[in-house]
This record gives sequence, structure tokens and C-alpha cells, in this order.
Amino acid sequence: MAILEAVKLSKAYGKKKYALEGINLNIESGKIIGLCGPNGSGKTTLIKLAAGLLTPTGGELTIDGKAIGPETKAIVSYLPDKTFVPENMKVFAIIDFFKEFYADFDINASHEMLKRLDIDGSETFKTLSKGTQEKVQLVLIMSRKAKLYLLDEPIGGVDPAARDYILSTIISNYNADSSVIISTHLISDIENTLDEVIFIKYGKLFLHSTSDEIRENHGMSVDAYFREVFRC
Amino acid sequence: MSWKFDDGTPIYLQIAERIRAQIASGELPPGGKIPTVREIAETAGVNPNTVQRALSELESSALVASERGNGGRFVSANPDVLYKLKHDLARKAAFDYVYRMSKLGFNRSEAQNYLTEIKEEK
Amino acid sequence: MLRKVIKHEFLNTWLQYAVLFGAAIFLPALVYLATQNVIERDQNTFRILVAVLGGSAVIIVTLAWTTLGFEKDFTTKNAYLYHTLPVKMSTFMISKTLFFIIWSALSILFTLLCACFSVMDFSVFPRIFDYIAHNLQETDTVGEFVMGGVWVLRIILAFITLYGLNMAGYAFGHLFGKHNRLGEFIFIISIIILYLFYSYILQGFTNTLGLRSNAIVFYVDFAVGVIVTIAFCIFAHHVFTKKLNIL
Repeated sequence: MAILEAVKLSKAYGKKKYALEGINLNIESGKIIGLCGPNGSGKTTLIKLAAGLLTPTGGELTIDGKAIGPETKAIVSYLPDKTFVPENMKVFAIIDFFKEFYADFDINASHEMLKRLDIDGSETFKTLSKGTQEKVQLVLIMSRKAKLYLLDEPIGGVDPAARDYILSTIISNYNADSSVIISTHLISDIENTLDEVIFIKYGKLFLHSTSDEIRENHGMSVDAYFREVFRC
Repeated sequence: MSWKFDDGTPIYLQIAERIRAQIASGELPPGGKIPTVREIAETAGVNPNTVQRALSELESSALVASERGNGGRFVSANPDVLYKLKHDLARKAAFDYVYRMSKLGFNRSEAQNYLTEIKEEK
Repeated sequence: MLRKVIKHEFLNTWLQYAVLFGAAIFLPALVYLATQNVIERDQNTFRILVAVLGGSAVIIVTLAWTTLGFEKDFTTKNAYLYHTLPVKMSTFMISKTLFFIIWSALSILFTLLCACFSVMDFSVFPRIFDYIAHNLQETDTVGEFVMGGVWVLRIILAFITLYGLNMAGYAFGHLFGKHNRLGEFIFIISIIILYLFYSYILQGFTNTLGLRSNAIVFYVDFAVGVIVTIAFCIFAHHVFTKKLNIL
């Protein structure tokens, strides 16, 4: 059963500027998928459409067969590349907030992750460093037992150790009922964790294949192939 | 932390290679248990599906089998299978050696001489 | 979900209003005590000044907090958080409107109290109660009774209409993307102009139709209010669900 299905999905701003055009996509459960493309290619637009922050201008998008709405938001866990926690909230408070509104939130897992990352839950969010804020947000998103995780540039601004932790959390969280879509342009770091990759070029779907196929057909890593496809 | 992989070949094949080498060297003893898909995935920093594919590959050559009723996978205890593996790998190592020596301009007998010359320099 | 949303809305806002309303009675009382020994003419000046400024401040600040609170949660700062929660937009709108009614009503009460505390004269309250009691006594016919009830409903509706206007204004502005302030402005100004026209026309009818048809005009006006309020809410809901663009 496809966890995400897009049929001729388009998003335009104004009459002419298309951020996404005619995207046809089918994503199965139990996959870790890389969403790759240069800045401005439409990756974030696609993710925000799936998260429900944007509405399509054309085509259809369904999650677990349902239209985007409260039902899909209950099974989608979205990590934006900006801060979304209200700055005056304490870390423990936002965790309790998530626990209250998301039935699939595992509060014990969240507390454990905070401990592992050495984060003090009684701190106010705005007093934390940027890196720590990103880690807190990651903890919130990964503590949910969602069917679809949408991670928008999760490793960009984080130190290498945290990067490793993020990737090993994604791997250890893996189960056959959920999928993870990671949008990034730092492919070499995450390539080994990806089942499939999606390349988006100028708002259009350029490629959706497995990383194995890319290696077999092109004899190079996904990162190298990406550089070739998107050569300036 | 994670394993290093070559760019040109699918990762699952490289993982299978690596496990094959571990079996041949005895690191994973015959009849012994193999770490789970999840454990290998986390250690290698690799997608669990990829690990699954690697293990299926090994299962198809009978090097590895999942015991019915018993969770997890085990290295084959069949001496013929292990014998074949060791000798396949040895043959490959030998070919590699000869090939590399020929690139340096040494023919086969010269290459062989080199082997006898190198005593057990531990 | 509505209960959870209401609970969180309360937890997020109660403190600022407690401070505002507390100050609204504490500061005038302070000024009253501080001006005890001042000559009467200046004493009155001070106290009336505090009453007027204080009272206006309470209302203006409450209005600002409640109207801007919608923007903060749904179009700017907290939009990412709220729009990804598994909660229907209608639930959020109901909660915000409910709290608008509560905080506004309290602000009116505390404006009165602020004035009272400035001069330590609370006689306005018995007078209000007398006025209501008197009107209730004067109600003989069923028609008058119903009209009285509808008057109460009208007051509550007015609050809902106002907040509906606020939400619809933000919704209209949201359609303008980057130029959302312009859109909000155009919308509010247009509605105000339309309302002025409407009042003028309604006044005209009342004058020409005479006293007996006052009731008809009254009910028509109420019905228009209900329709307009529903229209505002439906429009805002539509924009924030089907035309949402949180950038």
C-alpha cells in the first residue's frame, strides 16, 4: 500500500511560477528515501504539500489513501528546516504538548533521546544554541511512531557527531510500516541509508529509482551521479 | 563508525562480500549466529533493506541459513560449502596477485619466485 | 480535540490577561490612595485621567491581543506548529472565537472596574442591575420577551461577527501572499464602508416604515448579522484549508 501518492501534482505561485509541475510519485511503506535536488528545485515545496502547509494548485496528493487533513497529519511527522517550537516554551513543555496532541508520540523515547543528547529539558527553547534547538526538534519528530516522516534538510546545520546520531536514529527507528523521506543536498553523508532516491529538477520529477540501480546502471555512487545530473 | 563502501557497486553486494570474508576468516564461525539485520544496519550505517538483500544473497548460495523455529540467521555448518568459499576467495586472491605482478612487468614464474622468497616475515 | 485546544489556549494566555486586569484595578487604586491629600480639583483630574486612560488601555490591549493572536498562531510565528497538528481548522476557529468573547467581555468588566477603582465609586453596578431588572419587569408581551432575548443574542453575535471579520480579514490577506497586509487592509476598509451603507439604508427603512415595523427591521438586521457572520467564518475556513500557503 502506497504511503504517499502524487498524481500530476503541481504547485504554482501566481500565474506562471511553477515550484512543482506534474509530479507523479508513488512511495511504498518501509523505505528510506532521499529527495535530492539543488536549492529551489521544489524539494521543500513537495514536503510542505505532504505536511499540509501548502495546498496544491493542480493534481492530487494522498497519504495512506487519504486527502491531506487532520487524519493524515496524525500519521505524518514533519521536521522543517526552521524552528517551529514557540521560543518561550520549555523543552519538557513542548514534549508534553506533542504527547497531548499526537496519539503516536512516545514520551519515554523522547526523554531518553534528550538524555543521550545531553539536553536539559527544563531549559527554555530560545536559550538553547541553534544546534541544540535542531536536536530538540529532531527528538520531537523522531519520538512519534508515524507512518511517514518528512525530514527537510535534517543534517545541514548539525555537527558530524549529531549527523551520525540522526542517521543511526533513522535506521534504528526503521520498520516496515513507515517510510522516511529525507530532503537533502548532502547526499554522500546519507547515501548508504537510502533505499530509493528521487531527483527533482526545476520542479519536475527527473528520476525515482533505487540507489542500487543507480550504482549498477551508472557505475557510480548516487552522490557522483547527482553531481553529473545537476552539473552547473 | 559506519563502514566504507565503493562507489561503483551496489552496497548490498559489498556487504555480502564483507560477511563472506568474515565467514572465511572464521570471524563468524561455522554454525554460529549472525547479527540481525537491524544490528548490521546500525553498525554499518546502512539501510536495513539493503542488509536484508545482502543476507538473501548469501542465503541463495547456502552460506547462510535461517533456522526454522529459531529466530535469526546462522552460518552454514556444511564443510563443503565452507571449503568452496575458502578456495573461491583464495583463487581470487591468487588471480589478483598475478594480475598486479604482471602490471609491474613480472611474468608468472617471476611472480612465483617472489612468493617463495618471502619467508614467513611476520 | 476541542477540549485540548481550549486548554492550551487558556494556558498560553491567562497570565497576560491576569496581569492586565490586575493592573487595571491595582493602578487606579494606587492613584486613588496617592491622591488622597491632593486638592479636590487636581484630585478629580488625576483620577478621571487614570479612569479614562486605564479603561481605554484595557480595551485596546485586549482587542490587540485577541486579534493579533490569530495571526501569530495561523499565519506567522507558530503557523508551522499549528497547521501540522491533527486538529481541524474549524476547531481552532471555534476556540479563538470563544476566547475572544471571554477576554473581551472581561475587558469591558475590568474597564468599568478600573473607572470605579479610580474614584472608589461602585454605584454603577447597582444601577446596571436596576436597569436590567426594570426592563425585565416592563416586559409584558411574548413579543417583547423574545425581542429581549434576541437582544442578548445580538450582543453575543456582535462579538462573533467581529472576530469573524478578523479571521476573514486575515484570510483575504493570505490570498495576497507577500502583500497580505494590503489585502487585510482592503478587506477591513471595504467591510466598514459596506456596513456604513447598510446602516444608512436600514435607518432609512426604519424612518419610512414607522414605529410599528421596528420589530421587522430589528429581526431583519439580526438575520443579516447571522448571515454575514456565517459568511465570514466559511470564507476564512475555506482559505485556511483549501488555499493555505505557509511559506
